Amino acid sequence: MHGKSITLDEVGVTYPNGFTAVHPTSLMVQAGEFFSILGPSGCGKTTILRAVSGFVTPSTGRILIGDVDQGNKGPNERETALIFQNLALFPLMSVWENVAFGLEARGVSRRDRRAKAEELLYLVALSDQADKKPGELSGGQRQRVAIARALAVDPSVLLLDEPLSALDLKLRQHMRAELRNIQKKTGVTFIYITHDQGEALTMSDRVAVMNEGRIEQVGTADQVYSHPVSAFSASFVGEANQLTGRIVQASGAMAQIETKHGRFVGLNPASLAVGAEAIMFVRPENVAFECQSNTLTTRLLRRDLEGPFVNLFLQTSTGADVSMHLPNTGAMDGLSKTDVSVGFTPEKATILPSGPVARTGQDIAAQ
Amino acid sequence: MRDLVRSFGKGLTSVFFAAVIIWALMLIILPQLTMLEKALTKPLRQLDSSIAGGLERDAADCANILGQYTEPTEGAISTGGLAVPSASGMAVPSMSGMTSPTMNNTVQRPYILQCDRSTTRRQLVRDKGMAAFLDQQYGLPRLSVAADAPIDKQIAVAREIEAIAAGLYIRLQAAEASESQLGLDNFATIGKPVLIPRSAEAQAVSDADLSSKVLTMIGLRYSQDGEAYQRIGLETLTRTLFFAICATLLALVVCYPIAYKVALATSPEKAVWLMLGLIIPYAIVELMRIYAWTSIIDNRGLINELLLWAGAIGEPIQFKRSALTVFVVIVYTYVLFMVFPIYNVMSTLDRNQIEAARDLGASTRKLHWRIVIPHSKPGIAVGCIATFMLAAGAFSVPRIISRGLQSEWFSQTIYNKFFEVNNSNVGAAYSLAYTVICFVIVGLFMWIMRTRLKDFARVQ
Repeated sequence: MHGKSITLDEVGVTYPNGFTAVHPTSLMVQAGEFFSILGPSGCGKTTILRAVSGFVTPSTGRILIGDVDQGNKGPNERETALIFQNLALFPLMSVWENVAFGLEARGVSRRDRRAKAEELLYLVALSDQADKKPGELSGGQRQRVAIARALAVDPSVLLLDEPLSALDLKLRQHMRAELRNIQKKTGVTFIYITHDQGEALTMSDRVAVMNEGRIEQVGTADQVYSHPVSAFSASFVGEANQLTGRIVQASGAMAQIETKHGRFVGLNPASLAVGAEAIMFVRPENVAFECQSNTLTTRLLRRDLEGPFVNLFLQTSTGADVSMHLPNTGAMDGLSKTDVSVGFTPEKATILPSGPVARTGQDIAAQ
Repeated sequence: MRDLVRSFGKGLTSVFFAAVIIWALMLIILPQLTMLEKALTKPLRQLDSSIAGGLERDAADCANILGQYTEPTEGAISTGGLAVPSASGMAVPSMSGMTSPTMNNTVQRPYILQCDRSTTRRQLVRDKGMAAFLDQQYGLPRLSVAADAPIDKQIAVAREIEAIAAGLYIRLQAAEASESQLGLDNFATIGKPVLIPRSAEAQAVSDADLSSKVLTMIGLRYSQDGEAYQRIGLETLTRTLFFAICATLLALVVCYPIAYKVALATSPEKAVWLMLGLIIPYAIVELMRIYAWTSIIDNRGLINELLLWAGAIGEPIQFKRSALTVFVVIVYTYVLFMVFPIYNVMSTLDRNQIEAARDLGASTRKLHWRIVIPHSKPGIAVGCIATFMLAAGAFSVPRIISRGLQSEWFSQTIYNKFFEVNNSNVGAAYSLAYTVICFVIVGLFMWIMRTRLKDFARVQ
């Protein structure tokens, strides 16, 4: 099996009812890459996946797999295999028939089908389940059947539509490693759709962050997490404290922002000029007690214990919410409830142009 | 039971159970039992008592007719063999002018049917090959009204026969009332061969027919001693079942794509309109729905007029004579019974499975054969059973569409046995046998399709 590259050239999708699911987007996925598209539900990531697999026809642009334009190819003619969110296994067929269905559709003889199915079931460690029905398997096993079924047709590209979302946490973590493993073994290009940043960050070679039909940032997990390039990227991936204000001073890589909570200094990757509206993002793990610069005087609202970590929720007198993420070393057991002084180093704060930010859980719950 | 009491209370539960019992008893068990008894009982007219009763009536009529008969004084009378007993008409001597000098004292009266039948040597209805007569069977004197005897003698004999028959009738009726008359004779009549009088040419034409060849092959038609025989009942039954199966298959072929379209290949907003299109014809009374077709298929109907106008045909096509027309109208009439079960099951199919199959490279044929049809199998089975039962029992469609220009369906045969001929015992036997045969076919079909009864609950 050989992965192939995927090129999206100004691909846009507008539905007949006028809704634009994907604005013209260009994207290049390398051959053999584990590429994730991360975004909230309704951001258009599944539409991109369906466009690549051929179930959605782009209204603009073209899609290339390898160097071949897929414009007039139906889903059954493309070198892609799609793994559905609900897996869509065929309940009336046995496990091996499920795996071999793609071969059956290609007219492969029954004996060869069975041999290939057994080979793939061995790959996903389900050799002894070949004659069961999918309904008799556990969630993780069904997951692996779906992967084996998709791999049976020797796809160059495997498209995965949130396939782990129905599994419980432990299994999900296990399946992440397994997916990564299978991808390494087979060398097939994976495009993995998820709204779970943990999945995207742990598994992917590169991640694309998507919002409202547009890709905001493409990069490695580290780049996306540590060096976000947009307000949405910074707020959607991981957690971030946000301080909204206006640039008052910019010099080199750094800039100073004035907010109603005070003046702060941080990195200025977008080279914002003085006077620009901006938001400063600081990760909770970068907030510390007794910092020399960028200090805030707060009071403690709540303390959440997460086992090895402790989350502190603080608020300034001006109303800014600050959360802190600390290793649980017992250091702040005697913390006073008021007059907590916290701060962050300028190198750990990023100033980005103001724009749409990801909705918080509170926003979603308020709906 | 306890759950029902808890949910609805004792009052409602008992009303519910009473309704179920009344329904089962009045609408299923009792009618079927009545039908069974009727089917097993010999037709009344075949009973010995009925024959005795018939003889009594005939003899009485004979005596009455003879009593009104005024003997021609001149000893000359028409010998015209008329059964009309009217004395006045016959007594006109001038009409015939035929004097028969050889019959001076022996009076020749005209033929009277009732007198001819007034004989104690009357044949009883027995199984094939057995002959029995009233006088032998019940030790009666062998009497009959001799046409050449003097009229008063004839009347006297007729009266005597009447008295004997009346006595026998009462005796036999009492005896028959106390003994069972059950038997399977009525069922046997379904397979009874009937002599079909045909000219040699007509026979040749009939033999050349494919259906005739098939019917001959399975033994429903045969010829013996140069005469053609048909087991008409069984033939109609076989043909009707075959037609019902054909109509069901046609309905399946028509309805499967419709159900697929509505259930899986259309957005829900558009499916509403398709559904409406399917249901609206059912707002029209069934008879109207069928009659509407006659305006289309008539010799001067829509299709023929159009084709004639376009010059495609020179003579109108005889749609009424084609079995296919009946199939088409049956499909139209019962289409919903096929569409809905299939639709209901099909709409439970996860559309992702269709996409998954497509994505794995399945052609449309493969997709249907391996994914959609296996999933919809219970619906297909239930739809086929419903349509088959309706088609097999269809009465109005073959009657209205063919207007007697095609061989009748078995449902029509049953109807005729019940109402047109006073032969309801045979009709009951026919309908019971038909029901059982249909059940067997349905059972066989369910076994082949691996359908279980619980699938019916899932589908409807």
